[in-house]
Amino acid sequence: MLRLQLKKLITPVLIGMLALALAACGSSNTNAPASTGDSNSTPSSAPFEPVVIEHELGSVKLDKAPERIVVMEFSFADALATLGVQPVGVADDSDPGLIMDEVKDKLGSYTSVGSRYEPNIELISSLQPDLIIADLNHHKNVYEQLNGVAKTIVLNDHQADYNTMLANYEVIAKAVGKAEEGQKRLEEHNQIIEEAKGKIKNADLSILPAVVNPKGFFAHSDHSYVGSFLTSLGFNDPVKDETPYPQLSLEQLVETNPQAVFLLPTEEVTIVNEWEKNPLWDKIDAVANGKVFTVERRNWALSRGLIGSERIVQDLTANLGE
Amino acid sequence: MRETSPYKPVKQKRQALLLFLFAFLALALGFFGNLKWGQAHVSLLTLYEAVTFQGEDKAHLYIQTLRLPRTITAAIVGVHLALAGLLTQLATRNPLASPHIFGINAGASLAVVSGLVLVDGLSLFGSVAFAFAGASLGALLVWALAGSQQQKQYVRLALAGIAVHFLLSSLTEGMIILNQHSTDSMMFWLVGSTSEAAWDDVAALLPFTAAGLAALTAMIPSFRLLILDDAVAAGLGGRVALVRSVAVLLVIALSGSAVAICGPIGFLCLIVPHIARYLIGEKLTLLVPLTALLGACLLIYADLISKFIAFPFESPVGIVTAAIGGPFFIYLARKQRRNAA
Repeated sequence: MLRLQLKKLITPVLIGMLALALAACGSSNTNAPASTGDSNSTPSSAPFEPVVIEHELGSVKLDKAPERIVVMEFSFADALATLGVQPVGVADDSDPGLIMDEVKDKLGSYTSVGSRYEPNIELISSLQPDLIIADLNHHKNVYEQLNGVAKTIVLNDHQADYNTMLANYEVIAKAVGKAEEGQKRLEEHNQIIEEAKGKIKNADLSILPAVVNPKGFFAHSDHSYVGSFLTSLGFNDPVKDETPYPQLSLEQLVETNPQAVFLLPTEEVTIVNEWEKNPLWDKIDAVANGKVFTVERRNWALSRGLIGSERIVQDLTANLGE
Repeated sequence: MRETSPYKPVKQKRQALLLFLFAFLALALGFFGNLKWGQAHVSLLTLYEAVTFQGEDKAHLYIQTLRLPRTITAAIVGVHLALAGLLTQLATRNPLASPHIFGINAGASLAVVSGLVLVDGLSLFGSVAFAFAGASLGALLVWALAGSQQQKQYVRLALAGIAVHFLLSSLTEGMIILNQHSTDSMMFWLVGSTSEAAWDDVAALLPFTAAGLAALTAMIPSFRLLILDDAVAAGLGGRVALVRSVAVLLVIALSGSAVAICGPIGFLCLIVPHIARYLIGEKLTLLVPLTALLGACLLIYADLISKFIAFPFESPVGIVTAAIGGPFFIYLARKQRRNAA
């Protein structure tokens, strides 16, 4: 009788323990919390003129320069970093390692507000922000809630190409009261890009940037950020697809036959390790010409801002320059 | 009630022979279709050269290193899943059961997702081992919950299976949400896909196929007990519990290995045994081989269709089997009710 009852107990307890253990494993590694007390943003030198910012879901009137900003995408963090503004909160998917080092240094300490896909409204609200910059695709449905917490600007970032990013940059610069600095930084950026263009020979190569993980090879077509940036530099997109991130099979990749490949691995071991063993891999022009390069995914595909793009041209000139 | 069984037994030997011949032809045609059509155009001559292993051009290599192993994997996985489905339905006496009621799919999914999140640089072999271990653990958990008492075991098995399935699935979902960036690619696997199958996968599957088929063939006489009422079977001197345990172990080996390679491909396990039973009747010596053949056929054709849903991009084959299987399941459930009424 007793044995039976004990038996009845054991299974649920075991399951409970399993569930707990798994929950513990999955729990997010919280970023070093920032000192939320002091003001993180540098006050702008010029007096702030009240501005009205038009964005994807309406318009926002800002009477004074926002001081406590929460950004919901990496590219917004990139933009603030170039303007010398430090956000109080960043949605970094609870992994500061996803932000490129250069941007991270400039951001200083910030509070991670967790996932870019499922914003933690409570956490965001606890930071008492006075401006939130959100993404159209990921945050359209929570716009009302975010707007309830603080004035919210919604920009199309996730599906932005290079030119959209430049336009977004100007909006952000204006919103934080640094339109002039922004303009100057943009000119600087254009100069860097022009210089790089001069260094890159045979810029009519077909180049395929691709995020690779253990299960798949995700090409970035010219509808993606990197792809559009590369075509704006004069390179050719070998995929030519409507979708920004089509998943390619090895057969398709060989048919696509890019002349250079930039791999953006998410992990150390990816599907490419398997594909390299296949004799088909050597039939790709990029492989035959020794033009397969591994670069950082966070610089190429996540940052999607001025700093990120400047790192991309650095990688390009280093690998394809003279 | 006009019939005792919902299926019309086909008694004539010649008809059975024709049926097998037809199934073989369909399988051969499916093989040809899968080798011939894909993202790149391949001419018939090239196809011939490739399968006879002469020529090293791109097109030859597509066939030799990608399409051939993929098609063979699809066929083997089809056989595994169909037979696992048949055995599940026999062992649980539940015509609507499929191996996921043993927690196999959910266990394997959880194990693979955990492996991906916790272990950096998980190899193919590693993820297969993880999936298989997860499948077995899921099944053990269900078994432990259902208990070994004879009475009403079927009902408890089904309830325990569903409970464990949902528990493990929820944990998998949780892991995916908490680790979104590193688990993006899992979605493809979680629907079930053969698109990345290589010769390594074929080699990993074959031992399970050989052992599973050998054990199954040897056990066919004993499995007949499972069709009988428990009391009758026991009265005849059969060790029903033992036979049932062997059946469940076979289900784990067959579907666990299939899930490990291709992810949980739904509905195939459920519908193929029914189609086979409808065509050839309950006699296990005929039913088992026909189920295996039809399983291979169905998955090969589903795989071919999956290549063209979003051409030139791959779709997971699980979408196709679900699209075929969903309506069929509803049909079966309605039919069961009519028969019961």
